[in-house]
Amino acid sequence: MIGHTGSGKSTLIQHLNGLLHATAGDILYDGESIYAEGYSLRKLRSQVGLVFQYPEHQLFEATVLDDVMFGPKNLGLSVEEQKERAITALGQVGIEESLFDASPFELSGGQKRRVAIAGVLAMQPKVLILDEPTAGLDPQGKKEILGEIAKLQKEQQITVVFVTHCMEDVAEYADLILVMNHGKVAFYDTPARVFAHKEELKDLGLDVPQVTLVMQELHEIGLPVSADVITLKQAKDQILRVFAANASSRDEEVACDA
Amino acid sequence: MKNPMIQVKNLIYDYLISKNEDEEPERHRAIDDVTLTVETGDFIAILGHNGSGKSTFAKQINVLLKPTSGTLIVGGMDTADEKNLLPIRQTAGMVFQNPDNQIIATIVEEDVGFGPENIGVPTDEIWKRVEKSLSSVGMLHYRKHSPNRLSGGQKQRVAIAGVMAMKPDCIVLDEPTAMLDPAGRKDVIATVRELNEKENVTVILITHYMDEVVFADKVFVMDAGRIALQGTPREVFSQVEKLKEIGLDVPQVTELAHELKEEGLPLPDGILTPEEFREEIEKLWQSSAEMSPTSILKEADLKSRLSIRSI
Ligand SMILES: Nc1ncnc2c1ncn2[C@@H]1O[C@H](COP(=O)(O)OP(=O)(O)OP(=O)(O)O)[C@@H](O)[C@H]1O
Ligand SMILES: [Mg+2]
Repeated sequence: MIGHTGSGKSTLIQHLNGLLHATAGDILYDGESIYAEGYSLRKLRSQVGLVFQYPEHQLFEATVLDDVMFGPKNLGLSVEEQKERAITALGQVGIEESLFDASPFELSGGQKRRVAIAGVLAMQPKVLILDEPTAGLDPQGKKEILGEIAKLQKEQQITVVFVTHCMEDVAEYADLILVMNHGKVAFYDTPARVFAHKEELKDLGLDVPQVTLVMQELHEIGLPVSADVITLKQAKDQILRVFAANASSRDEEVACDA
Repeated sequence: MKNPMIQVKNLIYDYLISKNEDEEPERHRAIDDVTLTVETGDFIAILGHNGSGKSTFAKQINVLLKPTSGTLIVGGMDTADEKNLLPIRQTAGMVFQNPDNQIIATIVEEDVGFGPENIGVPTDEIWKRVEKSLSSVGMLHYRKHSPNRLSGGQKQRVAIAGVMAMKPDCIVLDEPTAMLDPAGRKDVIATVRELNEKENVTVILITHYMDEVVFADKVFVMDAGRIALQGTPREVFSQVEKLKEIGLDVPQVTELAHELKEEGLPLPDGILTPEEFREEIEKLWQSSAEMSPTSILKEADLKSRLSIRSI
């Protein structure tokens, strides 16, 4: 999910686990209205995990490990299970064992972010919603965490919704992009189709990945590359292909002349 | 010749962590023997993975922390000397990541005037400074607005104006764009560059966005509390492999150019921006159309690699 600041992303996702109640309209989870009488929001929240924006503000336990065990504890799991899940989750976000006993307040900004994400992963939700999970993470941390989440999504068939301002991450990981603008859905489509609207996105305060930008420009000045490239790998293949094809067509010319 | 803005010599900083009262506190070394100089008027970028010591370093410049050993001189003043505290904070202003934590007043212009008022600047001078700094970040139009109605990027620009109203010689920005959308990021970076160019303010920008670094005069890369790499953006970003080793990245087009070069396309090292990339590819394209078939690249080689890949 992308959109300019204030476009309604955080507000929308807080509806998805029932934290905010819609003024009008309905939300179905697994085909059931979450506003139906007797519907258990508690159960919904154990399945729909939400990592808030700036989640580091919500670290409150004495140690990193305790903090991540908090969610599983609330699910009523045994202490062993709590611990096991917490350790797994901390591993997934790349927090080293030496930090398990540290106070969350002794961590750097990016380390806090990772611990907060681990707290939700430890709940093993079916739907994982992350509000700007990678803001403030270093590039490798970003790759690690998004990579882990993508792995969870594939292996355990969970659904992931993530809010981000980084178009490169969207291109790399998302099946679909939802673009919010002033509280409405502006686009909801595949990354390639959404990023084709370079100018409209710019008007919405957004952007396209750098490779998309250069490939569109190369396309416009007449290079035979397609304009819907969104990842580095696609761009690389296309450019190599173009130069190889150009070379081989000249080979043919030379052959004819001869 | 002007004095350097910041001089750091063998700086070490240890966080002291006490688990319980009676034990000797543990030491955690966050800055490990850093020596560097920032010249007046430079635009400096600091990169590094999470926990590498960037914020700790920034806090030293602003005297939120003091060296465990070594020295740090800001604008000719030693941060270890108690009496320099206020003059140093006026010399080097700080902007943090989260715009919401930095704005105190309920009206933009009052927020910007808060700092100067606090240090007893006369009222008419305060208003002059407020006006000047709001206009230098392009926010004068919003002076009567309430900060909480502004976008993240606008709030950050107000925070920068608040620092500018103190007439600092140097601003230190610790991930000022981490929470902003692309338009907000561009605004903030453009604002900072303009302050650097037009008002000769020394800028120290800490960021994880590699494309923000390409404008810097000099880049320092921190790793485990040390300076692992330094140089111009082009010098630093030419070392793609080394940067990856320490968990960092290069701008996406720099990486693309690097990979194409590895495949045999004759591109220069250290392409930094989409414009540079497009120009280089365009040049290559034109020359490949004109030149004899074999001169542009090792085609056979390239083609065989491509056919392998396409299987
Ligand atoms: N208040 C503190 N008490 C103890 N240790 C700390 C404290 N703050 C930071 N540290 C430790 O010092 C080291 C450097 O942290 P610092 O915040 O300077 O990193 P950073 O480079 O700014 O990271 P990030 O990119 O995540 O913001 C880290 O190992 C961190 O765990
Ligand atoms: Mg930091």
